[in-house]
Amino acid sequence: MITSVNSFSRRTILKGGLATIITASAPVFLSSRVLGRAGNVAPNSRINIGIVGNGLISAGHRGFCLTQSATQVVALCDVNRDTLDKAMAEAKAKGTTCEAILDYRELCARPDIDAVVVSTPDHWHAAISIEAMRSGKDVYVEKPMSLTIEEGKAMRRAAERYGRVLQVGSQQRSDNTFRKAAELVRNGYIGNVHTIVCRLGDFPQATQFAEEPIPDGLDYDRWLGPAPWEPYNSKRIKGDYGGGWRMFWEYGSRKNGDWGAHHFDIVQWALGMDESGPDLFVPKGFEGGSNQFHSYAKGPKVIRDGDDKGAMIRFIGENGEVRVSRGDKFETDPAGLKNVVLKSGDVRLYDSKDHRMDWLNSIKTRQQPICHVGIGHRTATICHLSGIAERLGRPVRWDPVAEQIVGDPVASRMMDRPRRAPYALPV
Amino acid sequence: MKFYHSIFIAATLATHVQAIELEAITAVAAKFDNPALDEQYKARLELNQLIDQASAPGKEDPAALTKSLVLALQASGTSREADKYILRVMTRVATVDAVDCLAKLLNGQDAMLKEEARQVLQSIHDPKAVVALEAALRKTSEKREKIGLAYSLAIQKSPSSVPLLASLVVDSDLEIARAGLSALATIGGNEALDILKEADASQKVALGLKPDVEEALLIAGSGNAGVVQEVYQSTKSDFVRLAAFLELARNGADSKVIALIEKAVKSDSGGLRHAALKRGIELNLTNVLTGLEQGMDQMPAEDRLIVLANLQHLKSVDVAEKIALRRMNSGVQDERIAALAALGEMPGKPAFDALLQALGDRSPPIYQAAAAALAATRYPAAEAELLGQLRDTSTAVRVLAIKAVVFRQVPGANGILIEIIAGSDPVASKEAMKSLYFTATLDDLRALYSRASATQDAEMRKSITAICSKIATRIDTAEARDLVKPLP
Repeated sequence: MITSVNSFSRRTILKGGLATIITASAPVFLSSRVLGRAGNVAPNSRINIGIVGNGLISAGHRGFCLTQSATQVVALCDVNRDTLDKAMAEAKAKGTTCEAILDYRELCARPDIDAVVVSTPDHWHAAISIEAMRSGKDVYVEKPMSLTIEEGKAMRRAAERYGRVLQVGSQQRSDNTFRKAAELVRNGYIGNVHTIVCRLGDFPQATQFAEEPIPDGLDYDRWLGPAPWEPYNSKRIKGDYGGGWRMFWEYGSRKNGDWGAHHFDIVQWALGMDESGPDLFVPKGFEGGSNQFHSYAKGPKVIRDGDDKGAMIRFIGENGEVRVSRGDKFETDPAGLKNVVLKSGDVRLYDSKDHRMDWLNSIKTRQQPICHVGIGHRTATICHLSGIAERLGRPVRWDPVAEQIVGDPVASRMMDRPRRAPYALPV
Repeated sequence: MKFYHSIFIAATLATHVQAIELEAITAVAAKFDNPALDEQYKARLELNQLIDQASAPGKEDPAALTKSLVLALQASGTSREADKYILRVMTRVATVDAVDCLAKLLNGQDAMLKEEARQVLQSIHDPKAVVALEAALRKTSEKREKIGLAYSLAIQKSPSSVPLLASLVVDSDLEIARAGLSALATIGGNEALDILKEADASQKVALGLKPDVEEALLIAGSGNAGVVQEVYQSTKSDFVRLAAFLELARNGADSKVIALIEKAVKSDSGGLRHAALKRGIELNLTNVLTGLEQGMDQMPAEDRLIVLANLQHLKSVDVAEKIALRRMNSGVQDERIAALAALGEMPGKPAFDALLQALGDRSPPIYQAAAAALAATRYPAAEAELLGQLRDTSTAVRVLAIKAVVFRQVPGANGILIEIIAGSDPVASKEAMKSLYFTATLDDLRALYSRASATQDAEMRKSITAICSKIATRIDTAEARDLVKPLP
């Protein structure tokens, strides 16, 4: 049910009815004293959080939200009672009493919740995020932001329509080393970049599992949600960085949506392409090619799993290289390049020290966070187009301005996926 | 066998290309009968590959391919599992030639195949598919089916579906009614708009549905200022009002919009007030600016954050600077951080001085915010001023400047830092070593190391050699490492 929009539900409440005493000639702003508030600081400045999806990836988000002075977790939601019970026990152990909810719509309808963390499998990201935004909540959604390109567009529209802040969990943007690497590339320190290698790895091939009885306490129909019906098997729904639901196209975008959502995001950032994207996607095996790649109209070729020289992302330019990985692993050719300090005229990229904290700051200031919905959508688009090319076994051409696939009607239909009733995507 | 017989007849009637595809499709379909689940999954992949190859640009004959798939579906020998996956691939390739077959499935008894058929029909953008979906919606009494069909009709976006979808809006089941509203909002157009207006005024629509009706009206009426304005005025839902406000404020700056913003700034709804404040500052509305200058102190703290985050939009730099500087005295840390970020965007000396001052703050979030702002400051004389301050006689002034040059790389600063290190002010020297550790190049390292070699002061030689080693480790090249040798 739709209720109300409260940017700071428990912090911004001005006494009802007083607005009626304001006349057109009165000063534009009301004094907080006039409104009956003694001080300038609200009595409770915490942001009330609801977390939807409390499985594997949510542990970090939950831990953060349960321990920050700026946040108060008020509700946890999961379709699996067992998962929910464990998350509730963790909250209790950390001194938080909150409500356990099985249906995300109930969580979104709570007027006291300011912001929602969406850490479900990918096939639920769009529907839950949009429902949260239309209910006036700000959103932190795991990467990739969407399961399809059209879902991403719908999320972007919703954020704009309802004036919401949405941060995508591509947290490498808030890592100093990746920012520094991106700044070197962006400012031309390795010259014109012609090749980029991203290490994505691979998942095992998905398969059909034998049907098992659905465990008590699991709403399996809702777990599947908009995805096609398949018989239950615990391995299908398992949260597992090495496989589980991540193996299936039905619930994710396999490795393109997994590591790709991180590394392609940094590539977009480094190239200054956050509002655009590549125009050609070629799958592995096409015309005997040994690697998947995509390329930009005026820029480099981004190769998946090529010669990465031990780095997660390897940028190769005319005058050098930048190689960057997690764990502050950062190498350059020439070696001294990594110590370059930017000049005053250089482009300085958004500096966020903490991805989740950046989201909280944006909630307070209503400014766009470091990986906002527009950026997340463009990165996810790359993941999805790579996946479409892979599934079709042929190149896909993309118009990044019109945001349409060019010259392939079948591929175009794959920009979205059918949804199983009654799980429609909110408008 | 009947199955192969029917395939044979169909194939001989079809074109040669179609016959080859049909043969291949039925061969793959037969693999779904394999009891080994792995083999069934491989059959899925094989079917996908077959269809994707047959539908590749330049090779495709969508109608022929669709007919083959339909024949495979109609063949009595294909398993239900094979039918399911044939239908799934059809969502990517099927043409209007499949509609009759799909309509039969949609009206059949098998719930799973009905659902799959609906999804294929939804993907075929043809009036015949719309008619089939509408007919199914008229016939069904199942909630799940109604919602699914309404969604499919929304995707089809055919105005012909509007009257039928309107009937869902008054359904006693709120989820069905919402599906109808959502479809009407997506289809849009005058007829949908009229129905939604009627629903908005109607007593027949459930009370709990009111915000959904208004939201649908807002979406269907997007771009129509009259409709949006009406929703804005009449709604009691904060979220609908905010969405209406954002659309009105985004798309215009005439007197009506200005009045709207000025009024919204006084709203008791935080979301609306913040959106109005942001837009009012972006548009530099006089009344809003007067309010900022006169009433900042009395505003709720969270509103002040919105103001500070948007100061860069103010045409009057002086006013912006005055506001930000004043907030530097706030007792609220978030506010000081926001003020520092704003000051970094300003070109004035007072802003620059405040940033420098804040760099000496004891609170890490404050000096980090100051450092980030200094790195990007728009004060044009920042670099010259920092170079001058590095040579200031006051230790306090010099220390702040030394800290600042770490964040704002200033050409020529490292040479002065080397002088400071070798100089007589121990406090500044220690600070300069810290800064140089982050900013020294190989040339700086060379210069610093020669200072260490030249000095007669053993203590100083020891400290300079120590910092040189650290710098060499950071630079991490053979040349840097070779350069720094232990000194006697």
